[in-house]
Amino acid sequence: MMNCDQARSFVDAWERGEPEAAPRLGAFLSHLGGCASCSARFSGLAGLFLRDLGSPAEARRSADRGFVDAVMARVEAKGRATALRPRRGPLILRRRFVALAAAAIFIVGLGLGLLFDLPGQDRIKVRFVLDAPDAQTVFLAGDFTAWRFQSYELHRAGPGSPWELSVPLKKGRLYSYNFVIDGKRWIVDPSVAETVNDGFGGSSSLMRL
Amino acid sequence: MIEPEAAPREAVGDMQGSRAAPVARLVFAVLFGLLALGPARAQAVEEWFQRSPQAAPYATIRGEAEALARGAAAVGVPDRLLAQRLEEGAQKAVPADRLAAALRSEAALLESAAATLAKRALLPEDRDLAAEVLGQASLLIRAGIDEDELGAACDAALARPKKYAGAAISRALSALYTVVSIRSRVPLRESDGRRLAVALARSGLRTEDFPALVPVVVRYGASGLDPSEVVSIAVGLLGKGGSVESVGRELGGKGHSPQRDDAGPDRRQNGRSQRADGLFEKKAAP
Repeated sequence: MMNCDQARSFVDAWERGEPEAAPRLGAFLSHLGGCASCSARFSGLAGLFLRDLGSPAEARRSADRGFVDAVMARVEAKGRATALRPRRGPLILRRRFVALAAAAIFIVGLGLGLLFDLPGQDRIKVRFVLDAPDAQTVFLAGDFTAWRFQSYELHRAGPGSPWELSVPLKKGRLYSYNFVIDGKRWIVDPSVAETVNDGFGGSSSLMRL
Repeated sequence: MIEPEAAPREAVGDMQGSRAAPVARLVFAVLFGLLALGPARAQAVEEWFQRSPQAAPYATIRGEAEALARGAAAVGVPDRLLAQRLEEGAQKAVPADRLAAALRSEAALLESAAATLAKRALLPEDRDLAAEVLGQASLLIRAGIDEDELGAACDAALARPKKYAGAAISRALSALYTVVSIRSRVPLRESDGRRLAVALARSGLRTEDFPALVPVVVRYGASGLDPSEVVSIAVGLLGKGGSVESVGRELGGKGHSPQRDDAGPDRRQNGRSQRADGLFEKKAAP
């Protein structure tokens, strides 16, 4: 299953025009079906993704029809391709089945308005992730922590794994934050392009939910 | 928290619904009036210096900080915003003189933003809401938005058929954040950023749809199309009620398809994670 970071990475790849993003389209669409946050952010672009990363026939259809129709067209196309070419082997079949199932879940998810990741109507759980293999500790500090970091420690599964922490935050507002390495080094989030001058000679990351 | 929590709504409701005697009400009103007429206080900043364990190294700037907070409070800027900046600077172990300079700059910025919003009746009377709105405006300005852009985006949001102040300010801030996001990835002229913010704030798009415009403008703005032309196309279509997808289709129809080699610097590094200082190693491509 694709996670939010990978979904954003997929959009980045599309942004840069990387054709390598195409095989991840199905997983991306299925992620949108289960993630209210990413769906709200990117579902309006799904037609463009289909046009640019799907087959030419899918692209033509997605240009003329609504988004859900376009996804359905993709499902149908995949179904036909699977039926016509079973000789390509069980692994391919399984992949096609997974892609079909993912697209179907996405459509159902949109229809039912499933909000898997929301701890409350006005809050969303945000996962902060940092690769810092040499760090002994990583903390999170921002305006939502009153800039105190001691209570917001990121954890990792093991040496070499990324540091992670999930924090529920209110939707519809801006946040600035830093990671604090080993209690003394304040850095911006390398996965976020938006930064704000902190007025002290450094920067903080900026995000809007 | 530096600030005491706001009174629960239920408590406010009880007070409004109480059957206090008229004399008691009059006394309460007079006392409240005297308090309101008194000099603006810098309560949050005073409390920070009194209570924060981080405050000791900054005793030398206390007088100036409290004066700045009083000045800000007098024009409707909740002084908790300055207290937050004090805490941020103290946590970051900033020297006292640098923290004082940052406070001066922040106070001026907040007062100016408050004036911009108040002129348009967009500064909430509720102090909590005012603090939230001004805090966000401050972040956007420190991220590169200028006050003219703030004012223009507010005017555009207010010009929509359904006027609603709370929605208008939120819409304007969202539009400006979209511009900040685009500017952090592709170079955008100041006038283009302003045009785009105004078009977004005035458009028929839902606020939640604004972020989807970022990858579209970046994709085509970094691929050979002049970013000004990309913005012009987006502004034109949004002005006609177009969607983000329609903007992408129009730009795609221009025949520009981004190539990896000319896609420009990848300023968003997807968390896996390369910093200019080399602290973190980027994982090798498979």
